[in-house]
Amino acid sequence: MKVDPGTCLRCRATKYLCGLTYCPVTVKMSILNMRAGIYEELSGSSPPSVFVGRFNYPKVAVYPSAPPLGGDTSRYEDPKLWISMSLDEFLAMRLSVFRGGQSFRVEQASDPSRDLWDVQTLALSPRPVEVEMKFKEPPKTMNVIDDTLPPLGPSAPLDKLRLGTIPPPEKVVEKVFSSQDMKAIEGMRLLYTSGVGVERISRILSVGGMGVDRKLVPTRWSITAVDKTLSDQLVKELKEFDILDNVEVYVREHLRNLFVAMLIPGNWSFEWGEAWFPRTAWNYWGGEVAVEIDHEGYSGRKTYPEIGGCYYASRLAVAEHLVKRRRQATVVLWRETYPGFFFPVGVWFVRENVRKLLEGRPETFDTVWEAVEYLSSRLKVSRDWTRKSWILNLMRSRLF
Amino acid sequence: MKFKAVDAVSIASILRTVGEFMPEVTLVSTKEGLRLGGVDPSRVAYVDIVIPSLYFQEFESGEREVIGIKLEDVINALKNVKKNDGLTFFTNEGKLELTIEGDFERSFIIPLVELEEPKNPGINLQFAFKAKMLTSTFNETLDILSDMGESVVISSEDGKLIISVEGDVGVSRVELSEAAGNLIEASGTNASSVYGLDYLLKTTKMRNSSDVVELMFGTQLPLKLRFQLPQEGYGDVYIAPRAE
Repeated sequence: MKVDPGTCLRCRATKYLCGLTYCPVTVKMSILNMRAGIYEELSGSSPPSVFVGRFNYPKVAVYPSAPPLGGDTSRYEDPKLWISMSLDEFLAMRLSVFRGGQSFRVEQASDPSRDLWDVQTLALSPRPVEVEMKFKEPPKTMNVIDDTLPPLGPSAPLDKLRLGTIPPPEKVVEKVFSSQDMKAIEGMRLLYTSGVGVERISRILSVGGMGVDRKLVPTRWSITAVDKTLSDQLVKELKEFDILDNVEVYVREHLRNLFVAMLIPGNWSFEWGEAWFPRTAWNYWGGEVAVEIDHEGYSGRKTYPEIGGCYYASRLAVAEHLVKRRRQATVVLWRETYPGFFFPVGVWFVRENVRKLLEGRPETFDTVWEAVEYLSSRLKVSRDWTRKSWILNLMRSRLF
Repeated sequence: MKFKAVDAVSIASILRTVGEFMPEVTLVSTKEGLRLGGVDPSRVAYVDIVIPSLYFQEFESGEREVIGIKLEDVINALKNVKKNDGLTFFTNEGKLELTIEGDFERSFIIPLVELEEPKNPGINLQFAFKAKMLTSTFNETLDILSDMGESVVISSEDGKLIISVEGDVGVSRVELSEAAGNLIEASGTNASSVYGLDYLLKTTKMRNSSDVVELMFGTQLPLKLRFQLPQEGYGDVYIAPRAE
């Protein structure tokens, strides 16, 4: 994307006149500063961060990662903080995480070599760990930009990883890691109910740190596996609860994204929809707004949603909300993404935004149609939503 | 309540079909027989199954007994039933005792759940078109259309029944008629309505319990499927028309 240089002169990173949600100049300068002097060795503090690639599966690349900074770097892996950062700060931070890669067959997770064992141990840590990485060649500027993953910085083949003192993991993490007969699904649930965040659970899963038949799991897959497994359990729980009394509508705007939730009195069913405007990440060359919706009825779905990992990230956030309130509802979640939201930042963005959205105070209505009328002034593609929505069509099609 | 059926597969298929629509069901037994069903959680479908006492090899009931069962539990217990297996249901002190007799005897004890007795909504509709066909023909038609889209258009044109699905890649259409030999009976006027294909697909397990299905519909009216069961029993499934 080209930005008129005159625009930058007038703006100087203060007004975002180019229409983007971040300043490319500021981000580039921050990254260059952080990357200066990184050639074949890096000394820093891993938040901890480990990335497992998916290419060439079942022989995958495993990347212990760290920024070239000492001390407390936990914010590099904490979506709860990312959600309140500017996109400039977030991108500059994430794109300065260096990755040192080694290849392993996925089954090696069950009988790890010393190198893989070190990575597994790093991934279990509850706090940052001092690391030294010696690369085989200077890291290349091959950033990871992905719909599911948070962005990651340059990488190089890893020659040697040296770890500093590793803080011991919590007892529950140790238990899940050391129990060879605990299924991964049980491990995920135990960690979650013990208060371990979903990002850490997916990191432990991805390094083969839980389950009976242990394997390395590409990070992209492990994130969705955790969102799905945990939300499946929560949805099962919330089906036992009483039905909500009124239609509740929540609206949140964040970084050129509008998130909308309608919680409708009724049995559980769920819909996640995305509307990408032209010149946004997934509709960059399109001429019209692209609206996609995926859904499930009371019994769930049997196929993977075409819309991808955001479906399960948003489902987890809303299921958490309903279980906390001990209520059951029919759920409609929509997201509109406006021009300027230039590239994907990962499903954490959806999960955390929906969590924040539902922390807000709702508008309440007696009928779903009053709620839809109210939303028509907030949504920019209101007619497309009401025409394509599976749940609204279902509401119109009831027998009784 | 106690009943014994010689065809466990048939009873299992009925329960599996109901389980496609709802997680729990109320069974009401009277001297005349057994009735089960209710509205699905999304309130798009209504299921009403009536199995007369004569259907069973043995049938014992008080004047009116009502029990609630979690279908997942019962369906899991019945997952390995075979063609010549017999099946006994017996309720005793808040539990359902289920015995499958075949090559060897298997028994399951399943707790009953407390459910509100469903009110029969008394659907009384005048359908514009009715067609009777083999359940296998109906299933085959749905099988052909199953991957083509989300909504199915059911229409009648000059005595023919047309079932079509419009998907992303095109339209798939199946035409059935008495003349072609794939409808047993057909009568009525021209009509057309749209229904959710996934709801129709939920009924396909009735194939193991019923040989003949009667399909009834009208423009902007629910679809009624009546699966005929032995001894004048039936399994009715109503599906609301889809508002597009």
